[in-house]
Amino acid sequence: MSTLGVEHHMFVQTLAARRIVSEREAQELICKCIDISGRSYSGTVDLQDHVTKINSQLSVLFLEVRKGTCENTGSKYYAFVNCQEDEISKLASNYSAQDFAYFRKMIEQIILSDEGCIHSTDSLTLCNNLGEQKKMSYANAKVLLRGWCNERWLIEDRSSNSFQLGPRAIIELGQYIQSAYGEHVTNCSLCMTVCVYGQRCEDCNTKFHNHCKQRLMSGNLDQVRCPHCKSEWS
Amino acid sequence: MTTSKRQRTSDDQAPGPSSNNAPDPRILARCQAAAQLSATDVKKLEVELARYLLFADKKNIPVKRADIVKHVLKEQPKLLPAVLEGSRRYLKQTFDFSVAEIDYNKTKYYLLKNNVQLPNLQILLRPEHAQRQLALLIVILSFIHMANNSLEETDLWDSLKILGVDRTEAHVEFGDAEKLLNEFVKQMYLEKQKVSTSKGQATLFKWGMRAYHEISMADVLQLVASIYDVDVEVWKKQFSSHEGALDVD
Repeated sequence: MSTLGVEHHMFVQTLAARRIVSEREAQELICKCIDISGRSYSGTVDLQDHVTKINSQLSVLFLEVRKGTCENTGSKYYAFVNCQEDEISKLASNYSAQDFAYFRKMIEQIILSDEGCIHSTDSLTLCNNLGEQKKMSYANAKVLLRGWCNERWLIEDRSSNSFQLGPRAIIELGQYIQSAYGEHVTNCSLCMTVCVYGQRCEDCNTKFHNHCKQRLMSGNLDQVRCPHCKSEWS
Repeated sequence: MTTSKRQRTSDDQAPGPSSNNAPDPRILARCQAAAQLSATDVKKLEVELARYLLFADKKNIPVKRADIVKHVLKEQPKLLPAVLEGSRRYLKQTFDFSVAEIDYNKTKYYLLKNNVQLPNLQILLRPEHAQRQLALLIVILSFIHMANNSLEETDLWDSLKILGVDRTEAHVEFGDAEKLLNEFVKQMYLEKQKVSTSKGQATLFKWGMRAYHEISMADVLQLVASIYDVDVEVWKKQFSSHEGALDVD
């Protein structure tokens, strides 16, 4: 097991503090850490290489720097995730049981919906019935929603006035979504990972991510076909 | 027969010797188990303690020895030194954190200390709104330091008001400033002390344990000196007080 240098310690500390950064931010960050540490690297800095090194130390603590893609923008993100939900990790949360109940309801509605999003007005009415946790005021709910958008658990799509799952939810909760909602979620037929927000093939109805389709189409000069039913895509 | 004061029921039957002066067999069994912990069990505890310290540090929750014994070691305090050593190793390898043991008010606290000694690192690490809160904290700590580590609450708010932070009005950045100050007290950056003076009850603000641990008094004094554009030694009392600062190493 290779030991970590100062640049790695700085990088992982920052990621642990910020929880999620875009790929561009992560690239800038590792370069900054390398600069400050005074280490010299020949050639371009391989972000993934450094992340793998860090993960080799993090894994024993059930922590991971995990990469993922935003379903809305297609941008890549790196998130510092906890791989084991236990009594100890629950300590770290800034949210109350009631906040959790509302969050769980939100993501459930988004996952179970056809379009993979929930309209803003519907998101507020959700807080009227939180089971054991009773009701929450709309004002409180709005503050929470804004916070969750800042932390990238959710994305607010202003054009359609709706909320979608943000990159942090996709990266941290991907496995949970698969196991808890198995039959209700489909995988993207192009990248084979969970697809909550995306498009469907008009002919065979299989689902795929917008960014996966975009990548396929931009790479091919010939007509692009649905990988499932082979019908042509425009 | 035992000398235990509790009523024994059939549920209490447990392996172990029973004689007039025998300890509670359940406790005995646990000690025996503790002594025979396998390497895997010990490693599991080391990982759990490392995670516990990490998560608590994230939230600036001060970790007491009693908390560790209760939540991680499941009431087996004898395991602490060995498990702590392992946890220290994990935290050092992965993050370059070390674990400081601090005695304060007759309680033992455990805080993570960042070994990476590079300028501006603290600022790099924190998200933006936390950086601004930190700035406010440093200003408050400097006020307290200049008042020889004992600043009356009313005086503190008067000074903050000059900077545009009002106790009664919502601040554009900090919101409820009083609530934020209470957060600082909870995180042990500040300490509130109630005293009786000739004028009645008063509340004094002092540096908290965590402030001593994380922030250097000398740096704060340097900051004030740079604002006034004078030499640090102008304030003889504060300058010499650094000698007597809380020894936290």
